[in-house]
Parts: sequence; structure tokens; C-alpha cells
Amino acid sequence: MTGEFQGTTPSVMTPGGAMGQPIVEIDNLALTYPGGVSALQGCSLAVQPGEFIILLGPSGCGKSTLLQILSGLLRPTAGEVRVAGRVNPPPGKDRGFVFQHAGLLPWFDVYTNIEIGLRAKGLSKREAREISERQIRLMGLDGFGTKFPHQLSGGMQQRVGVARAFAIDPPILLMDEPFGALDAQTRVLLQEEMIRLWEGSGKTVIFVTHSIEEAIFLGDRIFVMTSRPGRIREVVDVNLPRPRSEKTRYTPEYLALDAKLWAMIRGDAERAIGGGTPGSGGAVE
Amino acid sequence: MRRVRRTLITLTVLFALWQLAAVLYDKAYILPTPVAVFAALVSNLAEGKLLAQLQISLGRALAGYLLAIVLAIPAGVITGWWKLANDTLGSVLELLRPVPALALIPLAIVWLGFGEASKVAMIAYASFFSVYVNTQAGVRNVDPLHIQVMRVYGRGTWDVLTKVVLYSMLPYVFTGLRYSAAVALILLVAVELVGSQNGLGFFLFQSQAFLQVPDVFSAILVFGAMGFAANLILLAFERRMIRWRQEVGSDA
Ligand SMILES: Nc1ncnc2c1ncn2[C@@H]1O[C@H](COP(=O)(O)OP(=O)(O)OP(=O)(O)O)[C@@H](O)[C@H]1O
Ligand SMILES: [Mg+2]
Repeated sequence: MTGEFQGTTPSVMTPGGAMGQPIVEIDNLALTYPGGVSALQGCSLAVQPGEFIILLGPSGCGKSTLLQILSGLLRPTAGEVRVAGRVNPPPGKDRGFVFQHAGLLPWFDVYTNIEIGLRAKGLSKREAREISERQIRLMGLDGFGTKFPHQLSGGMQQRVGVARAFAIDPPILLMDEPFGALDAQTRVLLQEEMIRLWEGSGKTVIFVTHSIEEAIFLGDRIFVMTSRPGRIREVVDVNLPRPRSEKTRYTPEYLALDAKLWAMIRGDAERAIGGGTPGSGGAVE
Repeated sequence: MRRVRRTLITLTVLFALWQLAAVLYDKAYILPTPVAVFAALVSNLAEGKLLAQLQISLGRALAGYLLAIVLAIPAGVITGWWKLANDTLGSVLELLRPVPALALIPLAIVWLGFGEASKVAMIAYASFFSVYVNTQAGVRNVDPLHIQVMRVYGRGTWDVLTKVVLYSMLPYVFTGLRYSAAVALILLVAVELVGSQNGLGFFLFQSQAFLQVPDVFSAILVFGAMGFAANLILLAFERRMIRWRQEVGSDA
């Protein structure tokens, strides 16, 4: 098994440098949508348990598609996905999913939204309520359990989305631009909360973003994707010490990575807006 | 508040004009004065005549309407969700839908007789389609993201239907319910005018035969009130059941 993927993946080193058994493995994956759009082609990667992986790539390169395949919502056209050794597994409680626009059901209150995955796990109403109650406290949503999504701010809605994923306590978290729709300040605060929740949890995270800053701040490794049909173009290790905090953003290592990544994906970003623009920035939005 | 005041003023002016025209025209058996109509309405209500007929008519309308709902909502969900059901049951219903329901009344009488069965059946038949079509549209307009959420958290089709589709289709269903209530009322009048021995429509028919025009008007007013009340009740129901959306509006 280990010998197999060595040949097809660019980097399989854990943060510590040791080679281990990957928890998520993608081999030569392809997905073509029914209309003929080829979203992914020859996409391979391997993720070690406990890693915080970032998928960074231009709009439309297939990031959401890849995450949906990992979640079991979509089946690949070719190649396969292995999650903890299982090939193309259907959706399951071993993976939590956080959607870009929170994906809350507007007719259910916060409790019920958080408990969506818990009831599927076969927990009783009471057990589920205990867990959602704890998640609500962890996410700083005290007192909002009986509120409906439209009564919450965007940042709070997204906290509920994160709480729903954490509630089932999955070893793997799939996050599709979870903070992409938030304002810059809320976004930074949620990133820090995310770090706080994840560090020491042992969970494997696969996190899609457009933002280089977010990628560096959160990730252990950044998988940079090509434009559509997407595959992994480069893997960038983020060797910033943990625990990370606000100060991390001002270290020279952080800034160097920022410049390096921006240089890497600048071409794609320019093509996406239809031409070159002078100047530089930290994020491709 | 301003709207209510303006409406009241408009109505007062209209009634005054009506009164004036009726007095000038001076043929009470064709155009009675609003005062005479109101008097007839009050005395008919007081005598209990109108209420007894109203009760019979309400029973018929409700029976037909509820029967329609009970059939139309499941039919809309099934055909909206499963292609196979849409290609079979859905196609048949699409073929029946353009036939004007009123044209079927004679057939209903031949098949089901002059009793309650044909009346309730006709009301149900005609009220069915708008609930059906709107329910189906509601099911098809479900946000795919909400279905993804359920699936990714391990919920099956039953949960998707009962926890997502059922809720998200509600606004559409209520649109259909309100429209169908109006249709049910039209059919109620029709089946009671054609070969009925009781009910508000029969009272209307009889009053006309005896040239009791104020009574004709009073029956018309009661029918109007029924339609008005049905709409209000359904709106209240809708507001109650779709709290998550109503509060969006009231916050703004
Ligand atoms: N259901 C679908 N049917 C057909 N084509 C689709 C479908 N979903 C996505 N695509 C196409 O597949 C490609 C990849 O889409 P995907 O949503 O995975 O991109 P993405 O990297 O997540 O983009 P973004 O950063 O904008 O979210 C896009 O060109 C998109 O138009
Ligand atoms: Mg996407």
C-alpha cells in the first residue's frame, strides 16, 4: 500500500517527517459531469492522519467537486478515493462537512441543525441534545439554541455549520470555503477559533480556500491545484510553529510563504479576471 | 391603517351611489337598494334560513376541498420527486387538467347521481389541480444544497422528504391552497345551482325564481364572505406554519 502511492503522489511526508499510513488517499482521480465538463483529471494526493490540509486553486478548478467526492456525495468517473482504507465510501459519520454558506436548514432551530448528523448516528433525542448543547457552548452560541438561522449573523450561522460537523466528532473534517462568505474581521476570528478547536483534536482537516492568508495561517500543507480540469500542481509545506496565533501573521516565514504562493498562483488569478493587473496582494478572491 | 380607512371611504361612496341609483331607477325587483339588501340579509340570517343553508354548503365545500388536499399533496410530492411517477401518473393528470371542470358536472350526475357524492366529487376534482401543480413545483424547487446537507450527514430519502422537501414546499402549497379554495367555491355554486335541493346555491336559485332580488343579493354576499374568510384563514395558517420565513419579513 505504502509503496504504491509513493510513485503517484508528490509528497507523503507527515509534518514530523515520518512516512505513515495515509487516512485519505486519492489516486489518479477523474470526474466528468454529465454535461461533459471535465472537473478533475489525474488528481492524486495523500493525507496523513491529523494533518490540516489546504486545497488552494483558482475558481472553478474542481475543489468543491473533489470535496464532494471525498464526502461520498459524488462518485468519481475514474480513479478512486480511499478513506481509512475504504474505497469510494458513501457518506458516513467518519466525515463531517462544512458548507460555504453554512448550509443550515432555515426551518429548524440551531439545536436541530446541529443535531442533523447526530440523529443519523442513532443517538436518542436526549443524547443528541446534550452534545449540541456542548457544541453551542464551545462555539460561543450560548442562548441561541432555539433561534432560527435567519435570526443569526453570517458569522454565527457559520459557527453553527462548524458545530454541526464537530458534533458527530468525526476523525475527518471536510470544509468547503467555510469562511469565504464572511467579512474580513469575522473571518479572522473564525480562523482563530478553528485553530483553537482543531489543535490537539487529532482530526484530519481538508479545507478549501481561495485565500492565501487563510491557507498559510491554518494549514500544515497546501495543495495548490491547476485550473480546470483540476489536479494537484504543487505541495507547499507550511513550517510555521504551532500553536499559531495572531502573531503568526507577522513572522517573516509567514510573509515569505505568502509571497511564494502568490507568485505561484498569480497567473491563474490573472487569467480568471481576464488579463494582467499590476500590484500584488495576499489573496486571490 | 391608512389602507383600511381608504377602503372604508371607497365602500361608503360606492354604497351611496348604489343607493342613489336604486332610488332613482325605482324598480326594486331588479335593483334593490343596499339598505333593502342589508335588511334581507339580516332577516334571513335571523330566521336561520340562510344559516341552515350555509351549513349544508360549507359541509360540501369542506368535504370536497379536504378530499382534494389529501389527494393532491401526496400526488404532487410523488410526481415532483420521482420521475417514474411523473411520467405515468403525472402525464395522465396533465391530460386531465385542461378539461374545464364545469363541463364534467353532467357526467358526474350521470355517474354519481344527484346526491352528495357527485357534488363533493366535483368540488374535489376541480380543487385538486392547483394544489397538485403548486406542490409539485415546490418539490422541484427544493434547494439542492439542503438535500446535500442531509445526504452528507447520512440521512436517507425518507428524511430528505420529511425534513427538507416537506418544509421547503410549504409556501408553494399554500399558494395552491388559496387558489383552490376559490375554485372550490365556484364549483360549490355551480353544483348547487344545477339540480340541488338545498344549500346556499339552491337558495340563490330559488330566490331568483321567485324574483326575490334582495334574497339573491344576500346569498351572493354570503358566498363572498365565505371566500373572504377562507383566504384569511389560510393566510393565518400559513403565517403560523411558516414561521421561519414570516419572521424574515417582519424583521425588515
Ligand atoms: N453539477 C454540475 N454539473 C456540471 N458542471 C458542474 C457541476 N458542478 C460544477 N461543475 C463545473 O465543474 C467545474 C468545477 O466546479 P467546482 O464547483 O468543483 O469548482 P471550485 O473549484 O469549487 O470553484 P469555486 O472556487 O468557484 O467554488 C466548474 O467548471 C463547474 O462549472
Ligand atoms: Mg467551490
